[in-house]
Amino acid sequence: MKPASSLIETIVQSATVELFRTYGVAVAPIPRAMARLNPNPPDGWCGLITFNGQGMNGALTLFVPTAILGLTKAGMSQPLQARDWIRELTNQLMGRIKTRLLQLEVTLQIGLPAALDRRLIDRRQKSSGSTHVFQFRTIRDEVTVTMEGTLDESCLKYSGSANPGSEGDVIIF
Amino acid sequence: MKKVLIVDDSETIRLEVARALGKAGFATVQACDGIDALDRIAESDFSLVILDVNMPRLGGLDLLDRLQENPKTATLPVIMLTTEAQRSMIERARKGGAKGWLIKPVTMEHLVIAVTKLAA
Repeated sequence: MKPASSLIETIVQSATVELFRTYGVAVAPIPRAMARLNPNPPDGWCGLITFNGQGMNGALTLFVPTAILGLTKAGMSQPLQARDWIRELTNQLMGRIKTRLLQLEVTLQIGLPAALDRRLIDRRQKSSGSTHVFQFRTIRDEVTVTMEGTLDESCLKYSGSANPGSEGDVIIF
Repeated sequence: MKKVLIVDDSETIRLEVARALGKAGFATVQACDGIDALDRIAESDFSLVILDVNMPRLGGLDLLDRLQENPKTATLPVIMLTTEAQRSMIERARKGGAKGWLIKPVTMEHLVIAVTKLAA
């Protein structure tokens, strides 16, 4: 596992905390020094989405234990389609990260999200030396976000000129 | 009753939006991507289309272009519902004839207000 740069770590952590807060679940970042990949992760769902931009290309994964995933849609009247929902949550997380990077003059092209078997992700990451792991404590179990690939922080320059929209915006033309 | 086409590759999103619009008195039809949406539009008349951007086969902005190119659908109101917040994309949609751009996650209350305001 690679330690994440502080700026990317801040972006990923804030995006993840806000995403889950939107859906009524509190998650707290686990400090890097205490973060360890769980050798026996609980049952859960994993989404993957690719990204590509200047100095940044790779894949983001989001692992959410089954119980936590259910909490994000606690008010639903129909059964949760977990595979579909983890894809959408992963998509929304990547969207938040993309928006934050826009303000740092990095524009990412993002792929379509996929739901994957956790074991495939674990195998992939154990063989890769370029995975940044971000873990978050919840009321039970942990949520894990990983970013694998190239994350060149030297490309990040705050300009304030991008002026992207924000989550929840309703823009009527 | 006004009918809305909901186009998103997430079934969860489609169901949530359909439920909210149903409660507000709209009939709804769902499509899982741009190609599916074109098939639905060919089959039926709609008062408004809610359109995701990033979808397989045919994405939302490309579908918007196709709707604009066809005189039969050029005036069909379209609202984009997406995680994308990039100004250039928003501007592309505006120039392409979309009536609105909603950045996920939006509350269903706000979505219903936008649809009610813009549906033909």
